[in-house]
Amino acid sequence: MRKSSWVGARGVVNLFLIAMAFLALYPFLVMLFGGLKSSRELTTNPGGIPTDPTLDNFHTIFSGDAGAVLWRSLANSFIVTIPFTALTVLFCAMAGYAFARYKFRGRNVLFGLLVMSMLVPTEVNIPTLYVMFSKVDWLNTYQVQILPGTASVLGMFMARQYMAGMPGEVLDAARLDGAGHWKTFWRVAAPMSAPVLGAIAVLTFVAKWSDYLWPVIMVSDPDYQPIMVTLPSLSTSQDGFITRYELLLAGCFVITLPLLAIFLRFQEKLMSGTTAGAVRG
Amino acid sequence: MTLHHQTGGPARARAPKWLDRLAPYGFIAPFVVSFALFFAIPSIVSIGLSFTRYSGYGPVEWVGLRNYRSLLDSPNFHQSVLNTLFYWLVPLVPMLGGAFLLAMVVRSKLTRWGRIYKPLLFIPQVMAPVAAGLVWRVILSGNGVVNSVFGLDVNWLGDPDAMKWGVVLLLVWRGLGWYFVVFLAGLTSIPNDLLEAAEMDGTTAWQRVRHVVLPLMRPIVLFALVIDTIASLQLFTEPNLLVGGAGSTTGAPPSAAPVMNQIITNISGGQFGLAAAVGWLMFIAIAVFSVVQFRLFREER
Repeated sequence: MRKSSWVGARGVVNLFLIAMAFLALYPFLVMLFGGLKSSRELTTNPGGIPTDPTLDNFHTIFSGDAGAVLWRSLANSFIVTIPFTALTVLFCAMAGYAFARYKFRGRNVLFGLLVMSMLVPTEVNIPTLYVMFSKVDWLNTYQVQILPGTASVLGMFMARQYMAGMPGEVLDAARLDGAGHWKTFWRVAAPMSAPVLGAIAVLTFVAKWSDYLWPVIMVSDPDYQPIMVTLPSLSTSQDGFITRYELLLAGCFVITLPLLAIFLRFQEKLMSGTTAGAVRG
Repeated sequence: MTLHHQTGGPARARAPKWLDRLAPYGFIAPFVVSFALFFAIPSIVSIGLSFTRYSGYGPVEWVGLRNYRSLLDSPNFHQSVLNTLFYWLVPLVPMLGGAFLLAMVVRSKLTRWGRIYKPLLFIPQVMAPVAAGLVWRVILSGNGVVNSVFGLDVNWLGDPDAMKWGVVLLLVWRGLGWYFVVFLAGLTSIPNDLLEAAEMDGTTAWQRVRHVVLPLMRPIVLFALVIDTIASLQLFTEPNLLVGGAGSTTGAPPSAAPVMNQIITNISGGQFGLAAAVGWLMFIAIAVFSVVQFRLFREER
C-alpha cells in the first residue's frame, strides 16, 4: 500500500516536471518551426509542426536588402561582444587579483564603494552618458558599445572571491623564481582562476549579446547597430505595414543560435555563474 | 569577507620596492578608470543634471526640484509607475513560488533525473529578451497557441488590459528557470543528514520544510527577492518588444509602458534633466524596497 502510493507520487511528480520542461522548451519550438513555415501556414498553424517545411525565410532574410542589413548587424554584434567580453574579463581579473592578493592604501574603502555602487542602476547614468558621448562624438560608434560597462563590479567580486582562496605558496614560489608582478598574475594567478574567469566570460558574452537597451539609445545609425536592434524592424523594412512573423522567427532563431551553442557547451558555468551571488552572498 | 593568505603581496623578488608598492594600483587601474569614466563620474553629474533643464546644447538652467515635481504630477508617469509595479508584483508569487516548488521537487527523492531537469527548466534564460518578445507575439496572437489551447478569444497584443497579462506570461516563462536554479543551488547546500535526522524524528514533510528548509533558505530567498526587485524596476525590453510595433524603440503604448520608457522618451525629446530625474526616482525606489526587504528578512532571525 505504502509502496504503491510512493510509486504513484513519483509518477505524478515526474509528469509534472516533464510538463514544465515542455512549457520551458515550447517557445523554442515555435521559433524553430515558425522559421520553417510559409507565411500562410504560420497564420493558420502558428504553434504546430510545419507540414511543408521550407528554408525560404532564411534565404529571404540573408539575401537582398534585408540580407545586407542582417549580415552587417550580425557582424556588428560580434565586433562589439567579443572585445567587450575580453576587456571585462581582463579588467575584472586584474582588479580582483589586486583586491585579493595585495594590501594597499585605500583598498577597503575603494572595495566598499564599488560594492555599494551596485545599488545604483546603470539607467541613472544613461541621460548623462548620452550627453557626454554626444559631446565627444561617440554616439553611433563601436567604442560606445565596447568600453562602457567593462568595469563589472559583480565580475570583479567573483574573481576576487576565487583568487582569495588560491594557495599563496604557489604565487610566492613564482615570485621567488623571479617572476615579476605581471608575470605572476598572467602566468600563474590567471590560469589558476580559469574556472571563474570562464564563468565571467560566459555571463558577460550572453548579457552583451542579448543587450537591447544600450544600443537602442546610443546607436541610431544602422551601420553600427547590433542585430538585437535591427531584427525587430527586419520584416517591415520591405513591405511597410505588414509584419512578416515567419521572417522574424527565422531571425530570432539566428540570434539565439550563438547563445544556444554557448549554453550547450558551458551550461554549468552559465548556471553556476548566475547563482554565484546567491550561494556566496 | 575573509582575506586569507595575505602577506602584503606575493613574496618579494628582486623588483625594486617602489614597484612593489605601485603594482596593486597598476592592476586596479583599468577597472577603476573604466568605472570612473562610465559610472562614477556620470552618476555624480546626473544628480546635478536632474535639477536642471538642459536640451543637450545651449545653457544649463537650474530649476531646483521642478523636474521631480512635474514627474510626480504627470499622469503619464503615474501610469508607467503602476505598470512597472504590475510587472514586478504580479509575476512575483507565481515565478518565485513556482521556482521554489520546482526546486523542492527536484531536490526531493521523488525524481531521479534532477540533473536533466535543471538545464531544461533554465533554458528560457538563453533566449534573448528581444527574441522572446517576438516569439511570444506569435504565441499570444489571435489564433495563437494560448488562445486555441484554452479556447479563449483574447486580444493579448491589442487590448490594453490583456497586453499587461501577456507581458506577465512572458516574464514568468523567462524568469522561472533562473530562480529555480538559484533555489536549487540553495537547497543542494542543505546537508542531507540534517533532513534525514529530521525525518527520523518523525516529522512530517511539511514540518521539515517549515522548520528546517525555510529558515536555512532565508538568505537565498532574500537574494532572489532583491534581484527580482532590481530587475523588475529596470524592466524595458520585454514589454516594448511584445506589445510594441515592430521596429519602434519605445513600442509599448502608454497603458503598458514601463518606467524605463520615460527615460528613453525624455532623452529623445531632448529633456535630459527630466530623464535624469526619472533615473534617480528609480534609484530611490530600488533602495527603499531593498532596505525594506532586508529589514523584513533580518528581523525574524
